[in-house]
Amino acid sequence: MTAVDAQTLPQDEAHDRAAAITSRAYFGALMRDRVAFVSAIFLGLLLIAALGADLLAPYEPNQANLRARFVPPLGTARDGGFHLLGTDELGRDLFSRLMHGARVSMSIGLLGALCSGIVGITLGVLAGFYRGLLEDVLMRAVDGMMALPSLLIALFILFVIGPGFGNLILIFTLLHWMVFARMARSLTLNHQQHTYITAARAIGGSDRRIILTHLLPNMVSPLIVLFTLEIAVLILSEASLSFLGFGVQAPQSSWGLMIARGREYISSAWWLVVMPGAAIFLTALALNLVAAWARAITDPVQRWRWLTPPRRKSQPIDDED
Amino acid sequence: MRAMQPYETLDAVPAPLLDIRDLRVSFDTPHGLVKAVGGVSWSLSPGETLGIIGESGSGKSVGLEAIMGLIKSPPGHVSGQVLFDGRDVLTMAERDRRQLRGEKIAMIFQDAMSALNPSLTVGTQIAEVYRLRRKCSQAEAERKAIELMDRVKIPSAKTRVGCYPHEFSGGMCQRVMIATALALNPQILIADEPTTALDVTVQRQIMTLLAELQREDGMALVLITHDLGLVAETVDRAMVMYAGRIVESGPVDALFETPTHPYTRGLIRSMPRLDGASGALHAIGGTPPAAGRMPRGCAFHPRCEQRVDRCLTERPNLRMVAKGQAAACHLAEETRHD
Repeated sequence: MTAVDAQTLPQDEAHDRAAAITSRAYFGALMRDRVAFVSAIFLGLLLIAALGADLLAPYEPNQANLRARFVPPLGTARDGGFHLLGTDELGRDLFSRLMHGARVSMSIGLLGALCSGIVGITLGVLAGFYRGLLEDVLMRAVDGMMALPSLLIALFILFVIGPGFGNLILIFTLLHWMVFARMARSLTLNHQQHTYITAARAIGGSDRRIILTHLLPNMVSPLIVLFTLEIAVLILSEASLSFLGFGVQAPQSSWGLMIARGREYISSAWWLVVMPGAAIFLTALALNLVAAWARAITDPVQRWRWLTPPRRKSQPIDDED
Repeated sequence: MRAMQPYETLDAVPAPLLDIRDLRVSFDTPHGLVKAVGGVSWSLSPGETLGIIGESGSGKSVGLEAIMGLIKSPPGHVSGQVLFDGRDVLTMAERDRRQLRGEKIAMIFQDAMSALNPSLTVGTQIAEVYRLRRKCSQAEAERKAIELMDRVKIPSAKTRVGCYPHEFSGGMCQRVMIATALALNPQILIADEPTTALDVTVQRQIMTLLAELQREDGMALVLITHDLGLVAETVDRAMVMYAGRIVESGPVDALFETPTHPYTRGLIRSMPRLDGASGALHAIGGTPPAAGRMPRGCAFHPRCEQRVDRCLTERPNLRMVAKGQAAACHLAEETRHD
């Protein structure tokens, strides 16, 4: 009690502090974590590149230019055009194509993770909350689907319903919801043990209210991490499916498809495979690194550690630096 | 105007606010049906303070949770009657029952730190019931939260409504819990070991606060605890529970001065005293029976120093042994019949 009394602050100061935490603190925390910061910048640039591909791309991505075939990275074509990452077998600028491909890869990753997340989290929370038959059936279904070779199933279904953007999202939702369901269920079970759920019930909270205002906010942290990681997984899956010819189709371009096309020329024009490959690798890596940061920052109990700037010398605790 | 009826004795109170009749709680487990509470009856008058004493696993918390409707079924089974103001809570529609919780009966829990949602500010949590039931605006809810925080004596409530539970000490968290429970002026407050997780000075502050609030609002308080000292100080009437049953109940003074049941006697003898001779504390030998393996006859007989043959086969019923005092012991009955 004395501790509370001692740190009683003047009201304005306390309000300022609270306000500062909401707005600037997140940025400050990101700045302090260098690796996450670089990753976030990379993802930010990628997002800009993907969204603004039409305006920012130096060349038309699908325009063939036979006088500029197989220009190596940083090379200049015979017609004088500079190509940062070189050109492909039809003389199309690789950099511009990567930018346009990013749009497809990123949106498939984001939308796929979002859809499977919504489906999986809903089912998982319901299973964990209501237990019983629903849980048994759902969790056996999850076990079953986890045992399926997802790439083969994806190929099979895409063969039947045909390739394309929408169908890809559908397939990814179908094949990835279990990951979210499993985690959401275990988190629900875990949090239901806590007294605050009983307490919420004791004040007459409805199931809906308990789930939405008491359970979910406490589960956000691990789920955000999973979500970020799933985006990376889906970008990779999309790449494999497109590489195999069942994903995004020809005039559209995605990173996986670019690798598939470049494979034929791997001995003479290595950059056709390496550049999109590097894009996939770096994006997945950046997402993983940001996920680690997001875990710390979204934990309601732990986040103040990251959100408050390092203590000043005048304060007694934690002043090693 | 009608003249107020004075409450003459505790038993002669006109209509009890809460009347529990033969409450039984059992759970399905992989090892079969386990009885947690086996036929408990008691009542609570408006404004009264009732203590429920018992070891861990004696069924004191489970019984109260059953009354609040917090037992999940399956695996739990609750039977008996829980009459609140004459209406049976157990047969009520879930909707009405939810209405009752928080509004009429509120509950506070042992470990306040974990009984508060870590991702919501204390202000939000205090005003939650109020917003839920009174459908008021955000601003009004915050004002109410500040008002309640003032009532439970949280210093500088205005700046603290926006704080998170982890920024509070244990005692402050318990105050927040109490504020949450008080939001709608309930008629009954159930406190499940409200001070167990706190240190002694804070314990005292919380109990004083509860007594004060109780006096102001005239609400009844049910205090579940295993702290006999706490009971002796704060409670009007107490019940001792053992293995899911009431073994003795009565006015707290009588219980402490003339304990009848060997278990109550054992509990009181095992309390450290300031006046008596120093030395090793008395301890009741053995351990309470596991809920699945209840001994035949009196559940306490394996640990009882005074057991007779009858205790092994026949379960004693709760009988009056003195005015307002009842005990479930064959020996107690015999002393009375002599």
